[in-house]
Amino acid sequence: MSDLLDTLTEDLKPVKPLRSRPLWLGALVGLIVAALYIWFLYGPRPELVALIGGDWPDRHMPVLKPLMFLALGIGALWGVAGLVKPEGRPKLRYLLPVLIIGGIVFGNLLVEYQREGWDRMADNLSGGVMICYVTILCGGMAGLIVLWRLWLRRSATSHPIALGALSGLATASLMAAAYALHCQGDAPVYLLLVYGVAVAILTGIAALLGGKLLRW
Amino acid sequence: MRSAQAGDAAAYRALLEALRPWLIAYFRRRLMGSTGEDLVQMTLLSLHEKRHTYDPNAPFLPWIAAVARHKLIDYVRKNGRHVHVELNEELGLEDGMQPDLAARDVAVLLAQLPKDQARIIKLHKLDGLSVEEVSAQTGKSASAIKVTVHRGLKKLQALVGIKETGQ
Repeated sequence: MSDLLDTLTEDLKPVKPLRSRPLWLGALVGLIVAALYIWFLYGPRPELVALIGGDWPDRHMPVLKPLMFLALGIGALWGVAGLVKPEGRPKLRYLLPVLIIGGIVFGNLLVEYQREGWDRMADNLSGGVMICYVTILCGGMAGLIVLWRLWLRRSATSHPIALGALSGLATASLMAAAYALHCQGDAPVYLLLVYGVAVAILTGIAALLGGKLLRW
Repeated sequence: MRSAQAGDAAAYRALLEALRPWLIAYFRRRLMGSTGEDLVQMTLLSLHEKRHTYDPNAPFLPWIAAVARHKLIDYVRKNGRHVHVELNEELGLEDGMQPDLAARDVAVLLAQLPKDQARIIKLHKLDGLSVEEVSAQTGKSASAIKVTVHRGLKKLQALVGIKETGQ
């Protein structure tokens, strides 16, 4: 035991305590980069251009949709910050944005299904599905890699799968918030089966990776 | 631990030496009498590698208990042993924790309460004064003292992540 203590205390280097501020700052920078990428390479949706000119759109979704995914991302980042230390425990409040927003979208989907039936709803899935999947998955994965390199690998969580899942949920949601500046698919079925599934896929991948990479 | 994070080797060695008996008692209680010497060493190694995850402004006991618990679960999983690990563990002197480490945690926790509330809890719970004596010293009614202590303890429980058990 004495040998171990000698080894551990020999040449002891100062360490910087792990703070959550770099996580939030990094997420903000990542979100800005993603939003600029979408805005200048994909182009903004017309309602947002009009909004900059001072015209509030007739429908709220062009504004609400990015904010919705932003709320999901912030909720997940809150969970990441809470779980990154050994004493951190999963709490229901980290998932509240997912439950609330998911519940609202799913409720709207049911109403629409009763009113219009599946065939008419499926028409909303015709355009831009692949680009939406690819953008959210690739952008979210890039964010996840940066998050891992800069912050997550210093973590010591007691819940690696949950931390991985929340990290994936955070980066995918923030990428979805950026992509929503361009995408005009606002129907509940589109939100659930395109955005929702893309975010869920990355969350699942990150949970699996978390189970492997975040063990210590 | 704060000194250790700043690179003070002597303080770090003193901390590790103080933790060893606590870890032995912690694992012995949960491994049915086995000292788990290798587990103690693994925990100290993990503490060393992950010492940056300790928040210098937070109490130390919940952090080290979480590290020990994590290592215990890992060890049990690898060795296929069956032990009982509580979700909300009682932490403290019964596991052999050094009183100065526990006292430092109490000070850190009390500092997060309003001054009046912290003073009343200290007088009643740490200095052992009765409710009437605290009331006489602070000029508050006995019922106000009881309410203040009750609410303060609930806040302290929340700060270390212990859920109320209704006891």
